[in-house]
Amino acid sequence: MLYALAEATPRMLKTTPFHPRTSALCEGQNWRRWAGYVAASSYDLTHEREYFAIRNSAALLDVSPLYKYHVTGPDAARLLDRVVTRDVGRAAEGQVLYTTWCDGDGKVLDDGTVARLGDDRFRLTAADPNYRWLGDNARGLAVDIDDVSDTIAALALQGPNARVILEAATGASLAALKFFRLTTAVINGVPVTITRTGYTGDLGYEIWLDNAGALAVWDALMAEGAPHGIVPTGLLALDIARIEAGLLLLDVDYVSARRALIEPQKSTPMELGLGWSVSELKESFNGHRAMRAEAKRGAEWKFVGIEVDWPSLEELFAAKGLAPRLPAQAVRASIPLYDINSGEQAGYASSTCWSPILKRYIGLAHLQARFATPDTRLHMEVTVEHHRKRALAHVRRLPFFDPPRKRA
Amino acid sequence: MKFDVLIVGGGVNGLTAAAYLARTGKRVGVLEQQKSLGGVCVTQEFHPGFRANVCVDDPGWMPAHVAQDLNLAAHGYTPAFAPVGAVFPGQSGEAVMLPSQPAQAVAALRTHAPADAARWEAFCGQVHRLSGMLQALYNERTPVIGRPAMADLMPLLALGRRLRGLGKRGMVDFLRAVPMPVADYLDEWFESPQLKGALAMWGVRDVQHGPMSGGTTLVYLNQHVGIPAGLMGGRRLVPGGVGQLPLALAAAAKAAGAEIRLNAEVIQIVTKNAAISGVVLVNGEQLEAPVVMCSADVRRTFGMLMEPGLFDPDFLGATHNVRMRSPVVRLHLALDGLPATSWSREALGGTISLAGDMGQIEQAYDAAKHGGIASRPCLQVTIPSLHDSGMAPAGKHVMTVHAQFAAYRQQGGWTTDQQRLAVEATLQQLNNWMPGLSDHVLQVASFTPADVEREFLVTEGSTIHGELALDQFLFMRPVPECARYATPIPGLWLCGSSVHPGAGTACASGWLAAREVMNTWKKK
Amino acid sequence: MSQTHRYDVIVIGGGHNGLVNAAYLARAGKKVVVLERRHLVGGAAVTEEIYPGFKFSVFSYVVSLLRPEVIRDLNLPGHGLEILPLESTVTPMFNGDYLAGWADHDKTRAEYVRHSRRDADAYDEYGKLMHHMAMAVKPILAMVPPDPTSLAPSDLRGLLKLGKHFADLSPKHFHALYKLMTMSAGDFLDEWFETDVIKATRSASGIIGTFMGPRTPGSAYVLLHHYMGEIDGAFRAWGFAKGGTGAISESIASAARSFGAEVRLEAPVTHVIVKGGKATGVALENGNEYHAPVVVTSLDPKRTFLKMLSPSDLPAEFVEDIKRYKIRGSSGKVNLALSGLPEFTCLPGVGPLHRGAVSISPSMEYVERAYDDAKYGNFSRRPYADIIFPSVIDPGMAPPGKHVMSAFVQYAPSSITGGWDATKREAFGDAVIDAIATFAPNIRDLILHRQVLTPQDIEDITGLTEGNIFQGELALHQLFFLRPAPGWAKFRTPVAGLYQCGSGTHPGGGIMGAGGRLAALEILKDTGSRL
Repeated sequence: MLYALAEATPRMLKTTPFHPRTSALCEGQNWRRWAGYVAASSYDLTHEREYFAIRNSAALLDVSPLYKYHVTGPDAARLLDRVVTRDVGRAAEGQVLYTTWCDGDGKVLDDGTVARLGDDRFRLTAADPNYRWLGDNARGLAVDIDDVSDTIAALALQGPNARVILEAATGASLAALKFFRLTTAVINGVPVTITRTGYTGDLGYEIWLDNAGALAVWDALMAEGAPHGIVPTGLLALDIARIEAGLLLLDVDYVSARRALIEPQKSTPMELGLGWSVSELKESFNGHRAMRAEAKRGAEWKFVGIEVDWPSLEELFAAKGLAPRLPAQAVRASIPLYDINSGEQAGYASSTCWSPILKRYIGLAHLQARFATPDTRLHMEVTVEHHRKRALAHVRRLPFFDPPRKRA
Repeated sequence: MKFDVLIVGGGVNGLTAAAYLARTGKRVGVLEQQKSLGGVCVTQEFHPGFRANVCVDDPGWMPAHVAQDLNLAAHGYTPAFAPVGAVFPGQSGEAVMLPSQPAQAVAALRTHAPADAARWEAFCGQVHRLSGMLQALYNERTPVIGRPAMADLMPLLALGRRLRGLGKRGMVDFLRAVPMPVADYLDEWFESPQLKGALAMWGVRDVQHGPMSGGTTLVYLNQHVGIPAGLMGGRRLVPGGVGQLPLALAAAAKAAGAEIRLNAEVIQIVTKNAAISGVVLVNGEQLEAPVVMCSADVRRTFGMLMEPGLFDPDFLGATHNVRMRSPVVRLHLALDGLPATSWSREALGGTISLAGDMGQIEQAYDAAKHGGIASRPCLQVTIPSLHDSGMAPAGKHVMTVHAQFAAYRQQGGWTTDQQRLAVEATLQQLNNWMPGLSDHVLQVASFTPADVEREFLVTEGSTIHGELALDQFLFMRPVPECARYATPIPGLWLCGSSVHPGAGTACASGWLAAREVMNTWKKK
Repeated sequence: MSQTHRYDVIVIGGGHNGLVNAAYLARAGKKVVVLERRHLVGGAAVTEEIYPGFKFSVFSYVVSLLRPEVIRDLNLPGHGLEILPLESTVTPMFNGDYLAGWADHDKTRAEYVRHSRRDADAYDEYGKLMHHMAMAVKPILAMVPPDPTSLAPSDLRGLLKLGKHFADLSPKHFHALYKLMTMSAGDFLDEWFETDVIKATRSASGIIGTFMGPRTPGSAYVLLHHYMGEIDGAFRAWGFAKGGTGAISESIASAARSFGAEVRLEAPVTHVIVKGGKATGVALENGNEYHAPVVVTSLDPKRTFLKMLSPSDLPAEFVEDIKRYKIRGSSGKVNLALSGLPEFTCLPGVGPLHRGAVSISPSMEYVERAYDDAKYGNFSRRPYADIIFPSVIDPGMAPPGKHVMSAFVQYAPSSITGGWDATKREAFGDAVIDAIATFAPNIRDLILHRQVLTPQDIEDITGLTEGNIFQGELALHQLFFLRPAPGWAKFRTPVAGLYQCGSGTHPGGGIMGAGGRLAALEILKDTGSRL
């Protein structure tokens, strides 16, 4: 008998409910893994057009692989207030909170959003699995935790034209839907929840629905979006947009305390520039003692923007007879940053990219607090024709790109 | 109402802590949910005129100075060691007795198992040395591993000296014996299956492990802490029953000014700004105190009496994982007399081990391990009325049977059917040993682990507040964060048997915890 | 006529530890001879063509933890070693379902989610903890165990180093390690997982080679073994040697020869020659004598000290310690020559599961009851088995289209009531086939030949006392400075010049090659040589 793969053996990776459409559109079959799913890196052979759709027209992204949990019951708000740093109990119905959550030592486990769907109904989105953690925190509480990661589909519609497209698709006005608020609507007969949220720093919405309606919603949005320049968009374009928007990414810009192998790999919310998300009103929640103490003491690390000085870069390349060459995609490798005087390491950039709209070489960086003041001059390591060099870089405030339409 | 210290639970540890703290002049309140004191260390009338040591036969070892400090003898606690330790049936059912006098024990064994008789004294000597090592550990708070502070260093060094005082071989014996299965340990000494079976019962007493499980030698040694050399399987006899100890402690505590409330079940320990502020009683009454000492078991303390949001979920998870699982069913028989038997009164006065060989104990354990009840349980039988006429009406007797193994977690829970099954299996064993006994039974009172849990509010019926095992011992007991009585909540202290030394000792946890609290006062 | 031969070092036994020891010593310039009783090297790590065309890794069947430094130092790939990956573990269940652990993390997570979302999350954190635990244990395995009861400066230094190592661990990790060392695998896993079959399959790795059940305290420690390989940066540490496990032994022997060591086959040693309290050589069955100032035994402690030495050569207390050293065998082996691959009803057809291990451990109770049988002197009526199909990974192991299957089985107690005989052996073999056929019914029709090995067979063929594959039980009171006897855990023995390098000494079995290497380093230290 020859050895053959049987049909009955389990499939390798999951596909989202939009896969019949996205796979047909994915010209280069350029896929990557995201939370156990296959997700399009880019639909075109390059991601350039997709990036500009985010900033100039409208981009449609399949974000179904996000982890999603429904938290319901009389103690739902209590559970979330125990877990996350923001004040869930005080959130209004229809409000969405961006938040982090920490372990008992105040080290960040994950970040995501909490949407208050009703008085005692919430949806938590997360980058990592959190089912067990929520359960462990629910001891003694009257609350149900439902992992809906695989049953709720999600799309992000982002860009200046997102509102007109969505209004056309829903037949409703979204003028009253404020930044980080949610509403319900019907698209092509499918009931959906719309949140005015996103991961691009632009005007945008995220649309949440049961898997069954996925294709109907996708088709309606594509049809209504066609006159407004809608472009199915993959993760490569998103990666650049989120760096411009100063939004961090788990596993790239920080390591979850759950997975960190050594203490220095862990971060606090303050160290990630998210000190603002730690409620000052709540009495106790996971890690509050450590976070309060840090707030008094000040964080040792800061999360900031970094911009490479272009002439300095040009000079380094020119010395080799070259013009500056940068990767077209965002770089997710850690790059050392040095004190310009002593040469000691001041920190590291965790995400860097060429911003096509700003025409700047920018990055997100972790710096020891004393180096983190805006406009501080630093050196960043660059590799020029196989040689390690140091280019001048400046500390910048985040975000790099923040158009008024995001909130208007 | 405002107190300086509130103590949750009026068991021996809670009362000990209360007595010591009240002596400093502080206002101390003890809150006991039952109508009587003592927790599981209690003697109750279960049939008119018949009294039984409900959960434990022996209060256990206590630090020597406690009895003096609290003047317990004057308050009515006057224990003495039984003259005979373990007794077991020999090949033809005859009583083989192990009295405290080695010469007598050797003589008794010589007819039963000559080779074993020759090793008896050496064995008793080693057990005494090794359990003495444990005793030294039990007199102090637990050492912790890591970076010891100076305060920890001195007792550690003293401990080291004590360890070294055993000699090189003695040290090896200790380090080697503690993790061993008691079956292997006894196999190294003896040949007689009956002798090994009888002794092995002390290695599995109160724990859901068979003699082939690692760490049961620790249980064996723990059972012999404070027992005179040679008195294998020996126990303390308390005139009036084990319940005399809490009464004496309560008298001492009251004399020192402590207030003791009965029928006062605490339903919540409350905090303000993440520090202790007091307790709430089942009737809704609130009592205030900046310090609460909780003698309830660790799982009840953190799982039921505290708001979970106060704790790191990992900590709560760890406390939830503490193994309790009592495998014990206890029967108290009111007897109108003892049947004719070849066993002497002296033999009947010992702790009678009806276990068979070690394989049979292991098989009984297997039943509980798989969630059932042993069809052939292993018994340790005492007849307290032989020593104390107050336990039963004249001419009548009380027989207490400590039977293992029955799983706390019965598949389908403890129903009346399950209870009947356990009781019948135990009575069957008794009758096999002493035919005709059933004709003398006036009343049977039985306590399954579920009964003990319900009546005495101890999780899974564990009278020792957590299985004694290497991973729940010393600095691991009950969880590392609480091993020295303090907890993550300022003002909350543990003082029950869940904390070092706990498990089978009396007053030691309560005293050591009280000492820690007093030290914090001194610092202020 | 008897002959005399002179060497710097004589190594008794050509198992992997003996060969590793010889190779290191020869590499350091010593004149070394290895004396092996059988006609081939390897001890329990041999490949034999038991039936024409079918090659079996007769005893040891997977490369678990061959130390990477041994592979590098001795350049074993240069001597033919090639390790092929074992990709998965599949556990068929009674309800027709299965649990799989695949090589890919996402795929395994999806599989765990199918059983329990909570356990899927726990799986990652458990893996991280085990990583830390393996990191914490590794330096202990690599050190010569200091004796905490000794006041010798070297021991105190060792203890200090050990103390510092523990102090450097975070309290969380120290406590977790302490729990691993003392708990049962079952209790430890109860703290992490809720799904029975997940616990059963994981705990099965905690009982391999031991006389313990998943609920026996002490079994949790063995859970670590699965993770030991990962921290060496060796991706997929579990594998199968091309050509079978014997190929590993052959490659080490080849390396040893390349450094100048002699390997003599069919040279059974009868006893160690001791003169004036010093080992001076060994005597063979045929009367020949080999002389050397250093004799290294790779045999188990009972065989060495109770059979190859006279009690008068040893301190009485040491002899007592060795006598009470526990070495009960608990495992057997069933090797099959098959006309095709069996089909498992849970995953019909021939698929990836045949490229990995199939674990017959459908529930905790199943495995525990298998142990219960053994406790009372019987083989398990429904045994645990770890099955692989070497011919799928390495087609050279069987004729084209045909296959070999290896089943490692527990429990088969060496101390079976009444002793092992041919009837019991075949009854045991039947029980194993029955257990497998529960999940793969067609296996019966595929069997061409069947080799059943009981602990008695393992002892008879390899010389391992009671057929114990670890040369002594891995129980807490037989580890570290107590292995094999208090005071003699440092590869030396009470007889000057006699060393031990087998699994019966620290760090114990399952860590392939470590004993041989560490003993060689100690010998070189004592003889004032350098590597």
